[in-house]
Amino acid sequence: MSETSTHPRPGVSDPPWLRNILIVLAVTYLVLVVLLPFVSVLTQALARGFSTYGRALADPAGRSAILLTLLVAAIVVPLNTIFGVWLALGVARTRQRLRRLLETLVDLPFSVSPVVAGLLFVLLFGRHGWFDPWLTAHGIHIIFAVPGLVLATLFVTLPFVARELIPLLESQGLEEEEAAALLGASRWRIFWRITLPNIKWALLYGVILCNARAMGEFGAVSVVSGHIRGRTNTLPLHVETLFNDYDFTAANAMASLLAALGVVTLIARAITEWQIAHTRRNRESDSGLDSFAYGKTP
Amino acid sequence: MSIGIHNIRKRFGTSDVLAGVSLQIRTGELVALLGPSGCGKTTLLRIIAGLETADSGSVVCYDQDTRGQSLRDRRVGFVFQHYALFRHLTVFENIAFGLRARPRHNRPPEAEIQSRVNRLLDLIQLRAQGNRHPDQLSGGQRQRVALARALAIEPRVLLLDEPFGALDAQVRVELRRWLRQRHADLGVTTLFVTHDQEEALEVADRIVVMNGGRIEQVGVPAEVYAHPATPFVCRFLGSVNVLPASAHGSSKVYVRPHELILSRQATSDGISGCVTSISSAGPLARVELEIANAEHIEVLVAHDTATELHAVPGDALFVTPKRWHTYEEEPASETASPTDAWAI
Repeated sequence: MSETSTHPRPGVSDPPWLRNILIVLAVTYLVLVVLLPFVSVLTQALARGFSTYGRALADPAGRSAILLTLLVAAIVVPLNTIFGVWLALGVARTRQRLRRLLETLVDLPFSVSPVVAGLLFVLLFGRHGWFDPWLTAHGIHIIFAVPGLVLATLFVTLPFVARELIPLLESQGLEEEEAAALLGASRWRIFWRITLPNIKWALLYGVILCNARAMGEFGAVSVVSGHIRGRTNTLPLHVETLFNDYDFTAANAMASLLAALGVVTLIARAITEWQIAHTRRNRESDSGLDSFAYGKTP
Repeated sequence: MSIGIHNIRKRFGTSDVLAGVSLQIRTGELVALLGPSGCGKTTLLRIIAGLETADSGSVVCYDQDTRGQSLRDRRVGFVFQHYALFRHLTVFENIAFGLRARPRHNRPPEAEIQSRVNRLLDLIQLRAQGNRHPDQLSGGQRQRVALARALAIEPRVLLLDEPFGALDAQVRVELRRWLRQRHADLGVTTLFVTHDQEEALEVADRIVVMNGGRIEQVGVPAEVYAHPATPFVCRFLGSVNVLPASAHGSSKVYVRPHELILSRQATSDGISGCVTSISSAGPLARVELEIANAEHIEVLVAHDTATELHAVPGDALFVTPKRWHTYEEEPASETASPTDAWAI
């Protein structure tokens, strides 16, 4: 409990003057590195008035970039939500040795540079790639097309949901599921009525992170996209294209959309985090409440 | 015969958790599986429930082999040590879960579910708390909800894992009397796991003492207490003094502290000891003596006796056993000794 205490403990905490300096330094750093660029994106985007902003967003290439980003997220997020839950259940409920291996696999996309991830898909599905003959024979385009964007994004955002759920499932244990099974519930019912309600906030948190990354991913997507304006440019890629064309207002307008997504994500994160902390607190109070004497029923 | 357990074996890694356990449980009985932690009692309970599978051996439940039977078909009510209540559901919905989980064709109508759950809420005296969530209840209340939830499916067998383990001492005593009473009312065959010998002796019709994956003794409480079959059982069911070889012709003599007589005069089969401490708190006075080989023994005597003896630390007194147990030989395998509190 002492970690959550707001009172600094003597002997561990720094003297007040040092603490103040550290706080000022930390705040300055945050302002310089995070807040200032963020505000500048918004001001630059609005610098030439709302009409320019509106025009930038109404531009067909811009609109198609927005729609493409939404499309990719709409495919990737549900898939990685379902597989993330599945993976997490698998990892949390397998035996120790196998679990390590699975966990490492789940973490792989985090440890690989997104550019490398993109290249992997080009090597597999691109020209002279492993599957190229078969794909060409069947007239299927993956690289420089939407399927490639989806695959690259799937790869990069795979760990988010699973990573959120694994520690929670491990700490919750299996007893509630066992109890439900002994009460005669089917596996399906156990999942929907017991497992899912117990992980819903962590799941939502993972989905939010997954979505933010799916919409904001640049590196992996950049490699497989081919930057075809109006066809394979996602929002982040479109920002870069505009920037390279010295169209700073439009670039900033597009970037401000991503920034707004960031703000929404942040708020949603705060809410879900609060909920997770709340349920955890309740669970901790589960143990050792016995002083409410048994038998005092009205 | 409601449960027949035949030669169950179970290994985890390299250790035998259950090394061939056989046991018969009669319909309507209340049986305690008693033993120190790690003796395999919880694993045995989980195997009977179907939550674990045995490596070999079988469990027959009401003349049906349970192998391959689904958990639903076993109709086992299980109360977990930490209750495992569904934390996002109300008390009412927790109890109704088993009824609502039935396949549609034999699910009772809503009105019947309501009345059955309400009857169970009355049984556990929590009618007014039906809309609360588990985290709003005390430990003893949660325990009763867990019991009602298990009873809702009308189980043929009720299994309880350390049912009172997570409760305060006082709540525990009240709740086990309550459970004893409910068992008398309902007559469900019940098996519970405990490491507390007092609990087992007070609540159960029969006690199964386990140690190191084996059953040491099965019997009614009075019999197991009065005639412990092995040194382990003797030590596990309350304090015992282990006296060195004597006129009784055995290697060791096991005597309970209250079955020793203290006197100032030497007796034919008594041994002498030097009083090291006297504590007169509690219903009986507790006298500790040092005997030969620097071994300590404990004697419980009535306060009056202690007063008559005028014993003070340093006095030499004689100790004579009234009743004792001897065993042919101390089994070498008896490594999992009971906690130090039991052995003196």
